[in-house]
Amino acid sequence: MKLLSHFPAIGVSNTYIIGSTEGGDAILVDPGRFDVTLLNLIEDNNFDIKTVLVTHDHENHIKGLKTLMKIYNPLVIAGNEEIFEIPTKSVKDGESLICSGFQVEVIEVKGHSSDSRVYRIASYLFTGDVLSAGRIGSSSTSYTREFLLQSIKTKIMCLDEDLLILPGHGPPTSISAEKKWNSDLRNTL
Amino acid sequence: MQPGLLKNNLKIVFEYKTCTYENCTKSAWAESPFCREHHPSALEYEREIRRELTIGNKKNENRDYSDLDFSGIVLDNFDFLYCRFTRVRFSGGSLKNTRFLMCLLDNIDASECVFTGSRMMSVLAAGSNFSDCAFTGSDLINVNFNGIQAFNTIFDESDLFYSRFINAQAEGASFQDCNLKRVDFTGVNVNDVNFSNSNPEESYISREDEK
Repeated sequence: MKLLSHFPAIGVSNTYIIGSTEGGDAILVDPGRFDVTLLNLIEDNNFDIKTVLVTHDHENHIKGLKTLMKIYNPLVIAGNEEIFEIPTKSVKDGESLICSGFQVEVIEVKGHSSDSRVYRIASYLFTGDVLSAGRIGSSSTSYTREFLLQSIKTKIMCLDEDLLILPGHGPPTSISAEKKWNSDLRNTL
Repeated sequence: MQPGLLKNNLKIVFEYKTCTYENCTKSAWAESPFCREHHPSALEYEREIRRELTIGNKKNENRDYSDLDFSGIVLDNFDFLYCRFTRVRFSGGSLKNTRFLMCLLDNIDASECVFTGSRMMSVLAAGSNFSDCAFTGSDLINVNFNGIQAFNTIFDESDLFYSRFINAQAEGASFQDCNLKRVDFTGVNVNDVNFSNSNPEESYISREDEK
């Protein structure tokens, strides 16, 4: 299993690719921007993007989707039923799917965005804007912030401490690192 | 697809394995099936990995070196991609001009190490000890330095774009002539940190900056 990450200078939202070491069918998480570097990353590893996982439909996480559709025409999996008028497979909390040969588990964590989904693949947790290194996602009201905090606490922080968190923004982190150094969470755990 | 054909069964980068010794729940050590305590020849195994690393290819990809003792090691000009160094002891080592791409350097002891001219990109280094280190002239982009100890550490002339130092201890650290754009210092006592000729105004010193 190969994990690749792309950190574009513009938009600075992370895109991840998961495929097998030999290439072939692969998953792309959050096509925030489709640029030549990302295209080369896919092609140099002989990947064919068959599945796109969208953590939420904010523009900086999906802006590259239309271009990606033209080249690879993947199945799009998201919390909403369509994005840019592209029909998606809408998924809910607790669903488990086989995508491009990988088992994907869906965790619904609302509070940052109503369509927010966290995806678990093996030891990796793709959290989008729900949780990043040392921070939780932004919320529009104190109610949604509390809702987000409680959802993270009950659905994410109870998972294996060694899981690697791959957020939509910023560097990778782990459940154990967030328990120790995330100021937003420390007071609630 | 049948469950047996799932690609999840292939070797996973950063896969967390437990020791195969009966009833042991500790993490497996480096790429061995045992934890350090239950390894039948721990010292010999550690020496072999260290020897193989220092005389072998300088480009290393998808390797697990967790829990090894690399004290005083010289790994100048090495290239590490998607490697795991969790809890490794590097103290007193030299890692000049070394590149770490998407590596796990969490909870390592790297006190008194030389990282000058190094390049780190999308690295997890949370909880590590980098006290009395020199990172002068490094590119430390999108690195998770949350909760680190960096007492008297020199980051001068480095690009730290988008890195995070949340709740780090950095008394006596120096960030002179650095790019600090979107660096997060929330929870850091910056009173004893030198930001001369840098742009701390483009970083987050406290949460109030974000409002």
